[in-house]
Amino acid sequence: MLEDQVLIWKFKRGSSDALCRIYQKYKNDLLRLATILLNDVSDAEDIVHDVFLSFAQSGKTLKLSGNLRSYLLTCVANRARNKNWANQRRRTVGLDEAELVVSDTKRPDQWLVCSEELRHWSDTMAQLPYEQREVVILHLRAGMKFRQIAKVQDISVNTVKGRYRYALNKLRSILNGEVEK
Amino acid sequence: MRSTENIRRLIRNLNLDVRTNPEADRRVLQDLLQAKEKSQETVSASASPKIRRLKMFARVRSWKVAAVIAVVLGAGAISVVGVNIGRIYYWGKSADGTHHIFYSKGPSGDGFTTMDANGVTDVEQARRDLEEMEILSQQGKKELLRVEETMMNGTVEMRTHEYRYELSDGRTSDMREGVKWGGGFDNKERWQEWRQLKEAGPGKDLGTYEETVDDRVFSFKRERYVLGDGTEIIWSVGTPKDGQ
Repeated sequence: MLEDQVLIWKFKRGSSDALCRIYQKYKNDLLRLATILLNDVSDAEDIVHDVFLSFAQSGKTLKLSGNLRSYLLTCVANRARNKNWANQRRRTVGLDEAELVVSDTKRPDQWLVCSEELRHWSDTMAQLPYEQREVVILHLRAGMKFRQIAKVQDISVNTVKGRYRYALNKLRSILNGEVEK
Repeated sequence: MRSTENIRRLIRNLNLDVRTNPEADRRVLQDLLQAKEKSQETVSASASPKIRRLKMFARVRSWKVAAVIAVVLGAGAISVVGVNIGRIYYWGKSADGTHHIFYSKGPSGDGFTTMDANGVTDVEQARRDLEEMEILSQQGKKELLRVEETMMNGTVEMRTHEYRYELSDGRTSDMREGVKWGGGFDNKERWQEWRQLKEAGPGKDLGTYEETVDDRVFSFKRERYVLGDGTEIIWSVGTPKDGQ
C-alpha cells in the first residue's frame, strides 16, 4: 500500500520507472480479471492494454481516492462492461453469432498465456449472466466490498447482494452437475 | 454436493495462474512510455491560460469577471487564477433540492453545471469526473452526439451541444454544454411556458435541414411554438446523419 503511494507520487512526477513497476506489479491481476469477465483472451488483452494506456496518459491529472489496485481493477471492470454491451449489441443484430470462448489457438503476438484452470473457470463463469459474474468476481477475487461494487455498477447494495446470491446458487448447481457427470 | 459456502471459498482460493509473453510485454511497455511522454506534452499545452475554457451549460460572464480581477487585483492575482484552471468546486444543492451545482473558475471563463440529484451518488466523484471531462474537452477528446438550437423571433437564442466523454476508468459520461446563450430565457415565465408547451406535445413540424457541425453532417428537425405574448420559438434538434 505504501509502496503504491510512492509509485503514484513518482509516476505523477514523470517517472518512467514507476510506470514500469506499476505495470509489472498489476498486469497479471488485471489480465486475470478481464479474462474471467469476458471469457475472451483477445478482448481481455485489448481492455488491459487500454486501461494501462489511459493510466499512462493520466499523469498529473490522476486523482486516486482509494488504493491503486482497486482503481485499476475498477477500470478493467468498467471497460469490460462496456465491451460486453458492445458485444451483445453486435450479436443482437446478427453480425456475429459465434460464441465467446477463451481461445485455444495461440497467436504469435499473443500477450496472455492462460493456465488450464483459468480457462476452465472462465468457461464456467461464462454460464452466469454478465452482471452476476461481475459481482462474484469483484467480490471474491478482487476483494471489493458490496458497497464498492454497488458504486461501480451504479445500483443499490441490495441488488448487488441479490446478484451475488443468485450467482452462487447457479454456480453451485453448475459445479454439482459437473461432479455428478 | 458442494455448499454455497464451499463454492465461495473455492473461488476465493483459486490459484489462477497467468503468464505473459515477454516480447508482447516489451511492446506494451513501449506503448505506455510513449503515451506517457506524449500526454506530458499535451497536458502542459492544455494547461496554458490561452486555451479556450469549457463552458458547461452556462451563462458566460467570463471576460467581465477576468477583466474585473485584472483591474482590481493586478498581475499577481492573475497568476493565482491561472493556477486554478480546470478546478471544479462543489457549490451545493439548489433551492428546489433537485440539483447539485458545480462552479468552475478560470481567467477566461466562469460557468456552472447542473446535475440531476439522482445522477449524483458521490459528490466528490462527480466533481473529479467534471475535472477530467474539462481536461478531455481541452484536448478535444469528446464526441458530439446531439445539437439543440432555439431561435426566438428569428434570432438564435440558445445552442447546446451534447458531448460524450470516455473517462480514464472506462466509464462514459454525456454532458450538455452551452455554446450560446442570448438571455431571452432569463424571463422565467417565458421559459416555463415554453417548457409546458413542449411537454404538452410536439410543435408545428417545419421539416428538416442539414448542417455541418464539428466536421460532421447533422440532420436537424425543426418545430415551431408560439407563446402567449406572440413570441415565436423555433426549436431544432440535430443528430449525426451517419447515425453513429
